Amino acid sequence: MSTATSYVEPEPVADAYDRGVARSLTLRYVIASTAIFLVSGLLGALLRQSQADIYKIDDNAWYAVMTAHGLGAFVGWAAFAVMGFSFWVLSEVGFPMGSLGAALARLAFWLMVVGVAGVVVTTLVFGFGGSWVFLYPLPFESAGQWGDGVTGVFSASVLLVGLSIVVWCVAILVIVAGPGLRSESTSRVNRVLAAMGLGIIFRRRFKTERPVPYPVIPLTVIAIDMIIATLPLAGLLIVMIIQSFAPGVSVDALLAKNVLWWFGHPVVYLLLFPAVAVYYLLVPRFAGRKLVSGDIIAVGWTIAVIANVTVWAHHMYLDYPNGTQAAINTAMEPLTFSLTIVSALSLYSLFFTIYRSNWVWNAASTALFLGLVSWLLSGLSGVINATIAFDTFVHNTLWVVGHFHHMALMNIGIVIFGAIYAFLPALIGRPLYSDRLGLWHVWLTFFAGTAVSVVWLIQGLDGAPRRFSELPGQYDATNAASIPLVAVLGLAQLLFVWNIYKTIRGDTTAARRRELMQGVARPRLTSASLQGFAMVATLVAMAGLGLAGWAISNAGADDSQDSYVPIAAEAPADATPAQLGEQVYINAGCGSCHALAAAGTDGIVGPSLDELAPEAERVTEVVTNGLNEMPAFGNQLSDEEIAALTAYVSESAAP
Amino acid sequence: MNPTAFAITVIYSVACVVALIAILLIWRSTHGRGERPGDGVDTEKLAHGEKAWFAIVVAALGALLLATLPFIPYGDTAAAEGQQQVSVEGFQFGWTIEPSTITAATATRFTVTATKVTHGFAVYNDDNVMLFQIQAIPGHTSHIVHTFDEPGRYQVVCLEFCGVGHHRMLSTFTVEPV
Repeated sequence: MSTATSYVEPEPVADAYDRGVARSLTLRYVIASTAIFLVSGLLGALLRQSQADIYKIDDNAWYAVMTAHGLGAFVGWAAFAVMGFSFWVLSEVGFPMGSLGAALARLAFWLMVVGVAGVVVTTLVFGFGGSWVFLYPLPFESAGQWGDGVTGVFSASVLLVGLSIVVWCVAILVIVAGPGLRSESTSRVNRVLAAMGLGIIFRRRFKTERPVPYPVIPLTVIAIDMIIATLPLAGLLIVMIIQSFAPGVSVDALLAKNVLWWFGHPVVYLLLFPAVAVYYLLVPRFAGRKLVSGDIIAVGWTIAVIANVTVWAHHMYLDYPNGTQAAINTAMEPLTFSLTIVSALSLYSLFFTIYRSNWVWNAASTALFLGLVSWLLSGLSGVINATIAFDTFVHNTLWVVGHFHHMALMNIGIVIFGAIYAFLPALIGRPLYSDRLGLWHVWLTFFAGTAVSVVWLIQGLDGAPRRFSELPGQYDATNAASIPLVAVLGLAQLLFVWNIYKTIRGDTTAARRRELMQGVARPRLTSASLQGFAMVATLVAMAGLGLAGWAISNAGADDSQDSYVPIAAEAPADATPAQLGEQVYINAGCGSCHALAAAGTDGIVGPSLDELAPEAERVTEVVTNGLNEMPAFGNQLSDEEIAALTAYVSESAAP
Repeated sequence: MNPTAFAITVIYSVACVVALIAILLIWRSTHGRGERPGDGVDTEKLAHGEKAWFAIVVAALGALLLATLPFIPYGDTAAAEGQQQVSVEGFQFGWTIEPSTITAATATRFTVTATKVTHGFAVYNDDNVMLFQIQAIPGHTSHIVHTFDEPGRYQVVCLEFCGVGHHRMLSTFTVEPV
């Protein structure tokens, strides 16, 4: 085949009616997920500013918002949006939805909407703050913050979300096994395997009249994997629903964690693989040539379909109470590496499709290009996470938070924006209101979002823990650095909202009207020099904003050394027992549960010592032997320490 | 800085710089001056090059695997002669650490578990540098062996989300000179 021939779009076999069904269904997913995006994005900003101590929210409110933000942004926005775009991608490459596919797509939509609504209500109204991974048995051990009934409703809501995913998977498999592939086999299994990429490797065994379109492959792979991944989690959720009213039922914590990540890893790829399908469809379109790829990419996808459901334990590298779990974890490292091959091959294909092409620089294509940049950079930090020796440090630090915001927001999220800019005109039959506004949105989102992620990566390498509603003082300055960046990221989304609002209304910009009426072409924003200047200027601006936040916080800080556990002043030689007792109180971590004004602690789990004002004997007794939830410290603290602690608490507790 | 964190900083920074240079070259290649740069590009050859790229990626990942496998923490954590034994139990929201005084320069074997929910047992020195971490799982005991070179106060931080008091779940222990 000559390389100079221009690219020809595949002929859709779907009729106009089927295209209309796909159009309205996709639009429905896009509108609902965008609404969830705006809410969960705001929740994210609320969390970050509270950590930076601007407007502080209560601890459990923070963790409940964290749970809503995580599930909302990850599943309610990103997964939901790419699930919707998948139907349009398949329609674009000529796969009719059919009545069954459309019915399943409608069912998946409503299951997701009801499930996400349940998550929002149980977290934001009823205070469920078990985090979006709701690590068993934490949902049943809330330390008095929410009841088992709330956990039951939360579990049922997540179960609906899981069912939505399974129904979507079936819908995708029904569509790819339909007439769109023009397979010569009547076997549905043969057709699905062909669509999974085997049709490219084994052309005789999986015969199709047309070559398997590349965007179909990642969709088929994830549809197969998410069914395998979700069913065990559904089982765990059902047990949790039963446990919410039958407390005798329980599951081993380690087993539950394996089941959770059996789902929790592939669900990451529920975001990535449909986003890859969008790349495979749109990048060749904007480059004006076919995807630069051979058979080898199908090999990558065949590895992925297996590796994706066999790498769950890389989230458990630091759980190894026995040799079996350690062996599973060790095996997960090479398997995880093999899963990165499909990303490496896809990035090669997509970047070289763009390389020296007549790439059109508009809002949509810029979003896709910047998404590829983030995919590459955040993929590299993912390889760090996948390496056990490195994970021993970064595990559960803010590095991980930096990595997945970089990947989910700046790769998948920005692809969603690109897909909206690219597809919305066709979906609603009106041109995009302003491509220039879209460009501003995409560039600002890219730079601010990347900068926000980089701050987390830096904090993580400094050892900052993730999921802390309040970080110790040594992270104040870096927290403050991210605030102006979060503000820019949030404000940039207003450009997006305005653009979409005006597009749906069918409005036209003044510049566009002048162009149409007077024939005066508007200068393009996309020359190499202008783009280069904008990149450097934005980089400098972001660095400046971050440094400004850092400097303001740093200027207000005193010189004393911050640490997780405050360092008590050196006790004088003639220190009273009460003075020594304060050191014991702080070093043993009594303040994590108890409020005591004299020590400046405000723990809420145990009784307030100020209100209780216990007698000396009572303090000695409870500290030594424990009481209810409080463990005994008799073996941990010496008799002298307990005596000092007794003196301190009984003297300083003020009712 | 923790040596692992330092290694990550160097490796990730270098990888990002190389990646960004490649991206800038691809970005620049789409901006032709006048002529259509897309004409005359042998895309078949580029597609063929993907096989070489596949080999490069596999080799690089293999090298990373071989280079880092010796550092996985799943080595011998069985009890041995001359070790100090420290038992650690996480509860909502604190730690019992027995004994809470440890001798420096002696191998210390931590036996780590939790009462109700999973916690993360992470040890930081007084300069806030994380030394090691391991998950504390209810119903299971894990072991980790570490030798403290420096005497002083060490901080214990919970690194697995465990509920409303997670960020307050802090404690200390003391390492005394030999």
